Amino acid sequence: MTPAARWALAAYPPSFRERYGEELEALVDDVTPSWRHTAGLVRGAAAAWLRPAFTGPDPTQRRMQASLTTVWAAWCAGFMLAPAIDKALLDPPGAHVDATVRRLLDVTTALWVAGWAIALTGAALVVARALVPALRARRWSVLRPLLPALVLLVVEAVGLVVLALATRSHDSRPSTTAVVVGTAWIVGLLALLVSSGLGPGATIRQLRPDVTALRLPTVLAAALSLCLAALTATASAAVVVARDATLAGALAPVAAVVIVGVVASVTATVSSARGVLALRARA
Amino acid sequence: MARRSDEVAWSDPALLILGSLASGPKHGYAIVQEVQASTGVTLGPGTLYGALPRLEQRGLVRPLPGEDRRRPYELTAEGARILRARLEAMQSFAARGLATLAPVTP
Repeated sequence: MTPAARWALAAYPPSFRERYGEELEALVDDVTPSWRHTAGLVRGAAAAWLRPAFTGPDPTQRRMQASLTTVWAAWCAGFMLAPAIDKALLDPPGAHVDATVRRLLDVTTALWVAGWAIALTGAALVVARALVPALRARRWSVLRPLLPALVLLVVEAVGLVVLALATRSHDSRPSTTAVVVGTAWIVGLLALLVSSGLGPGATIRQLRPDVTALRLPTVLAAALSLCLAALTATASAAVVVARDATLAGALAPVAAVVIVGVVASVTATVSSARGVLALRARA
Repeated sequence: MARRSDEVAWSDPALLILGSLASGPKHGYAIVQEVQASTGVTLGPGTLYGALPRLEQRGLVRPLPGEDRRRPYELTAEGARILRARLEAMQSFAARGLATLAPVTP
């Protein structure tokens, strides 16, 4: 198998790889390698993300599980939009930051808080209904996908303290140490976001909670996706209304977080809607 | 991707897979070989596994216990019914087309 084909196989959704991964890999090993086959795999992976097919003994459970993990990953990708836009527009406030922009940012912050409340409630339900019983049964391996995020969380917390100490004595111009620590902290934060977004999904796939345990978290995931969509809309509106010098100075990062927010919102909304529809069809 | 050098294609992967399974259960590579031999169409792995899950979801094929990493599939009764209906429609289309075409053939 060529490295490109291996990469294309890895690009399929986890739910697809779990069910068809081995047999598809065997087929790719059997056929003569070609760029056409690799291009077909890339198209197949994209189609599997856009129009997933859930088969097996309990397709509803797999659909709901996929919705939960997708919405969680989308939230981890998109929630940074609120603090990023807040910092870009208010630190320091630009000339066009008027009462409307401040009101939009207040709403964004409120949605951010509400989103976290919903996300943590859903996570607590999954922990209580699926993770705790698994740990009682001594299935310690389900914790493995969470370890990178937990380690990075501690590292980032320590890094934040170090960063605060390194920048405190240099008010006007940050020292080289502060710049290095700050850059490393931002890289670590991105790694933390990625591992936080993907780790719980891998744990849920190992836990395989039943439909009853997933029912309320799936509804909460739908609420979270709406919250993320609203947060993205208000933050984007604030950016459009403000259009000041501060924003112009940080156009690339602001555009990047807005694009990530929009993609995350659309992904979460579509996936959670499919989860709720599967739940309704089952009922 | 399903490929054939013809300018006018008729190669729907779902139909080709169902047609291949008509002669008995097969795993992925055997389906690819059967389709290639009987129609000249090359089904790529991505195309085959784009259509197969959908056929399974609709209850037209079902997986059988696997041999190492290779899992064979077989037609269900519903899959056989759909395939028969499609082939009969194609047969009717082909017969009518050929009959109409005959007078204008030099």
